[in-house]
This record gives sequence, structure tokens and C-alpha cells, in this order.
Amino acid sequence: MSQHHPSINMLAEYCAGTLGMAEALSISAHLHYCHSCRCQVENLNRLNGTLLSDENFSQAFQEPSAAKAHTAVNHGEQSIDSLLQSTLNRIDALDNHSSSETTLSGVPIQQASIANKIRKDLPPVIAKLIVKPRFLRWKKLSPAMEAAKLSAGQNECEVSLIKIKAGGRVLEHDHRGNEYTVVLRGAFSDQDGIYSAGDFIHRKPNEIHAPCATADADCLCLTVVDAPLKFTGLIGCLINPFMKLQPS
Amino acid sequence: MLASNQQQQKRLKIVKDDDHSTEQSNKKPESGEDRWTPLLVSVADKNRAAFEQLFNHFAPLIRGYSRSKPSPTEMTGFADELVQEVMIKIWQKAHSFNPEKASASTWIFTLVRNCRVDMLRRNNRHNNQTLETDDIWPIESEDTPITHLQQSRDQERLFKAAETLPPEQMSVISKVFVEGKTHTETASELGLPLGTVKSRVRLALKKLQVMVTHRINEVDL
Ligand SMILES: [Zn+2]
Repeated sequence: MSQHHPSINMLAEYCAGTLGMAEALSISAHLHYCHSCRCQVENLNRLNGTLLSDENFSQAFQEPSAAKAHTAVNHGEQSIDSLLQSTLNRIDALDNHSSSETTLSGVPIQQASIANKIRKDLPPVIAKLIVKPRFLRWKKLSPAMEAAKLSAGQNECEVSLIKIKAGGRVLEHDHRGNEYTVVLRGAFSDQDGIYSAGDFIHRKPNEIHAPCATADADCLCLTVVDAPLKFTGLIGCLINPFMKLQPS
Repeated sequence: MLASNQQQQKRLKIVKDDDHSTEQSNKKPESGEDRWTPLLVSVADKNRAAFEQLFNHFAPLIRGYSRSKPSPTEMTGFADELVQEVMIKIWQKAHSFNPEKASASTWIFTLVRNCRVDMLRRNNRHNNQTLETDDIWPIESEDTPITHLQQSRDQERLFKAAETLPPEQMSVISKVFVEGKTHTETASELGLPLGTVKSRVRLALKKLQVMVTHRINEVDL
């Protein structure tokens, strides 16, 4: 059972689909381990569904007057009737084609489960992202720490896997941005506590910390950083170039 | 055209009903009553009439949902395309809908959300092909099967609780959930500090009993 969770606000943004891909990835990884947050997400989805499907709620906010609906028509939107007709036409076309199977369904889950066999204990979404572990380019950042970048389909954030050797210590560092960490294997600690598999840690900008893996096992983490790290320790200047964000 | 007139009349009727909320209860089906789950189950059997009923209810709502959001790409017809993609997915995936795990409206909401994220990703040249949107935002929930009756009651309770929210919480909830704005966007649109938005969201969720109780050590309080 995880002890450290994302905030309800972050879960709310995740459920509404407004969280960036990289942050959403870290939530998704945490959900793999955390029953309590999965329940929370279900509740939030139910709230979203209720608010969406009830015209008293939705229309009060979205289409409060006939006048507004009228301008929408002027913006080139179809009437509901003709929209239904063109949807039915597309469905007919798809149904005729799909005698040769492979439609939209099933693809993500299948691939994920293949990947999952390779990295059994990891969240499926992470396993899928590292389908071919030999393609990961690990970079040694310190004697105790290695990092490999992952591509999560968003360029504003840097998503990495971090390995810390058993008993190893990471340089004290701070962040210009937010750092989200999910422990995938093993455990680490910092001045505020001990974190083990599934735990979700959020470090805000300019919070300084020096994580340290527990002595008994290597620690593997997923980290999402929305601005580059800067090490505050002595050899920080040597390490910094590797951790630079690569904006588009 | 005829249908859209009907839609408008329906909307006007709702606005009127709201003005005289005392008369509301004998005219309309019970608020929050789940009429859509049985229909969605029929769509799994390729029932077109059921599909058309779902379409007529959800299409305008999905369009409104889409229109309320900032669309960075200025795509014309984005809302209509979203409606069509969602409705096609409903037709194709209805067989995988399990009424013991979610209500139709919850399931459809997750499709709407994911389709929208998908469409935005398709327009983004940095899009990563390895991950599907559904990998990060899974459609299926695996926890706690509940009956249709429970779902229905739960939705009704939620609906009634939402009506009792104080206006300042409701306006935040409607931005964050109905309109799908980020907390930051909500703060700037309502002219509130981010911290106030966060705490109002938390208060409202507590009041709606959406909050799972044992959330200890939650970060970013
Ligand atoms: Zn959790």
C-alpha cells in the first residue's frame, strides 16, 4: 500500500483530461500500485459523467440560451440531425470494412500486456514505454545514480527513469520547476521520509532535497520534471549539462 | 433543422423549469435517474434505435463540452468531429461496456475525454506513438462491481448534492469538471488565487462525498 499520494487537485485534473501527458503518466503509474487513488479516480469519473450527462448541469454552463446555440450554427456546426446522419453513414462504412477485423479496439491493451510480460512488476504503461530495455540510454550522473530519458509525447517536461544503487546517495539538488517521482522498485529516503514502491512524491520549485536509496536494494523511480534540475553540490556543474531540458 | 428547433425548445423548457423548480418533479423523469445505461447495453446488440436516442441526448452535451474548452489549434468543426468520433466509438465498443462496473454516463465521459485528448495529440507534432491515450487514461475500471440500482442511486445523490453547493464552489466545480479547465485557467478566469481554487475544489468534493476518506500523506495540501 502506498503511503504517499498525488493531491486530489492533481487527480481532478487527471480525470478531467487537462493534465499534461507526462504528469498524467506519473499519475497512471501511481494508480497501478494504489487502490485508494483508483477509488478516488472512479469517484471523480462518476462525478464527471454525472455532470456531463445531466442537461441541467451541462446546459446551464454550456448552452444557456437559444441565442448562443444560434451563433454556434453560424460557426459552421451541423444540426444534430445531420450530424447523426453523417455519423450513421460513417458507422455503415466502418461496419462494411470491419469484416476484416482490427478496428479501434484492443490495440493498446494487447501491446501493453506483451510488454508487461517483459517487466512484470512495473505498471503496464511504464513497461510499454520501455518495450526494448536495451534501447534505454543510461547515463551515469554520479557514482550512485543513473538516468535514462523516456519520451512521453510531451516536450514541456522531462520524463526519466532513475536508478539509485543500494545505499547510494544523490547529490543535493533543487528544481526550478515541479518534480514528480513515483517509486517503481526498491525504496529511497530523504529528509522528509522513506518512500517505497508506488509512492508518489511532489517536490515544488526550489525545494532542496538529497534523496538516498535504502541500503538493501537498488531503487528505480520514474521522474517527471517540468524544468531542469540544478545540483547545488560541488560537482553540480559537471552534471548539469546532462540533465538539461531540451525544449522544442 | 426541425430537430435543432426541437433542441432549442427543449433547452428553453429547461430554463423555464429551473425558474419554477417546484413544478419540476412531476413533469420530468427523476433527476439523476439513469436512463442511459439500459440504452447503452442495447447498443452492444447493435440496436440502432437505442443508438439514436443516446446520440440525441449526448451529441449536444459533447459539443457543449468541447466548445467550453480552449482549443489551441483553432480547428473548425472540432466539436462536431469530437461528437462523431465519440459516437462511433460508442457503437464499436459498447460490447465492452460492463454495467456492473460503471454507469453509461461515466463510461461515455471517459470516451469523450480520451477522444478529445487523442484529437489534440494528433495535431501535435511531438506526439509520441508508443503510448495510446487509453494507456495513460484507462477506460475500464477494475474495482468494486456495483449494481445498476446502486449506480442510479449514487448518481441521484450526487446530483442532489451538487445542487446544494454554494455558488462560489459550484462555479469552480463547473470550470474544473464541466468545462474541463485546469486549476490555473480556472483561477485566472475567475480572478482568484490558485490556492483558493484548490481549496474550493477540495471543499466541494468533500461536500459531494466524492472524496475518498483515508487520504493521509497526500502531497501538495
Ligand atoms: Zn494513491
